[in-house]
Amino acid sequence: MAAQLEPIVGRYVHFEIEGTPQRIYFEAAGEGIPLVCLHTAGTDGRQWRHLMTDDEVTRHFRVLAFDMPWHGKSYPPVGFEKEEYRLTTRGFIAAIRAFCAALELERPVVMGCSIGGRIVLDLAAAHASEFGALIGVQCSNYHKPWYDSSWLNRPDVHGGEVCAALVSGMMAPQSPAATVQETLWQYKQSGPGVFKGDLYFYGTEGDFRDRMHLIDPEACPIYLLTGEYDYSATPEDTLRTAAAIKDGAYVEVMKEVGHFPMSENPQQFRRYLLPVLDKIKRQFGADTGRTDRKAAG
Amino acid sequence: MASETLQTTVDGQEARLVDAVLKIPSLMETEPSLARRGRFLTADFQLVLGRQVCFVAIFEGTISGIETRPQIMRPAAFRIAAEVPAWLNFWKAMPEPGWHDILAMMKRNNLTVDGDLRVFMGHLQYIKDLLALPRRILGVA
Repeated sequence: MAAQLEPIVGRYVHFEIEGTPQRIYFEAAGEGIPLVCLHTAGTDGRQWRHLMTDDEVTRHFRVLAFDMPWHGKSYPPVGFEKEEYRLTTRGFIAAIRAFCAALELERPVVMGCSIGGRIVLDLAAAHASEFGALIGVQCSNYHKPWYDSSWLNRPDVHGGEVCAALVSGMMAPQSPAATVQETLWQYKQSGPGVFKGDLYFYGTEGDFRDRMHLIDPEACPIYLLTGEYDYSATPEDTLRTAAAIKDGAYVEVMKEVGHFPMSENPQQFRRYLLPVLDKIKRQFGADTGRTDRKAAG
Repeated sequence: MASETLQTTVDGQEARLVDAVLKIPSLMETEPSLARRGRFLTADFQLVLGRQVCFVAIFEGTISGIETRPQIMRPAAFRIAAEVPAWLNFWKAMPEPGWHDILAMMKRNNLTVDGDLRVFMGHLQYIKDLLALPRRILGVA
């Protein structure tokens, strides 16, 4: 075959989240330590596609990215038209744990960005024994709402256009135009009210400052990476978060990237991510000596 | 004397900014997609550079005029305002974090937008891209 085939395989998996049947779309590539990637608010797992075609990563990690319900190719649950979508802390945790359980992942590493970066704090505090390591990208233990999110879902302003325009400035001016525009396209394709509904978790339920003492990096190592051009989850936010973790956490401020490192500038992101993955590889080798060789298909 | 020197410097910088803003229509000609994306926008807005107010008129995505003479009580759909040092930071060729985007500047209280926010938000990316154009002039100075 002359055409280039990427190693990414996409499939649907059925499982329940908090008692509601879901048909969840996920993509996977590579083999080795399971690495579950969580997308940002209002987008989907495509944000991680560059990681899934990076041999340096997929040689050692089975990278999986699922679309949360309501996002990407995962439909909302039956009857969605009768409710306003709101992501809750409980629902977010339940979705991650249910996905990992459905795919029988053994102590996966979870890496999330933005809301995904924020939820790893909950995973670390309440479910550390289930995960091999946690990586919070653009992670902040407190996100003070700073604008009126009703603009994101109203009939007289185009939702896709305004969501994309709102986040466009969260990317670094150094990021390549092609990957910046691809990142914005994901926002333009999001369902109505989904970005706004995700921000409910981030802004309304997301204050974790009084629970930081529950995180024990000995129980589950935690790594924090934040792009310097993110004015939403700022480097100062992440440094404050890291400082509040017992004995401190691995934290790195990434130069010349913003809120979407993995999709706005994959090359720059991997410079910071690969050293973290090396540490995790060593940890897995030293602690368990195991590898999960289950393929995506 | 020191304050007079400072004021002269600010005035000089303000004049540089005004010159660059007046070149936005010609800069737009190099970006035909911008006028296309703004084709549903016909509105006037005020662009405030320190003490200088620029009245920008947009007709179907194209700038039909920019006036800088005083026009008290001239109506405008919305107003975007920042001090001269803030615009200088914003229009650097490679702006520093926090100065690279007008919403980032709004969050840090370095820029304000008021008026009919429906027009502003409905054409947010177009307005962002329009305001970024002077970077091509001031960023290389």
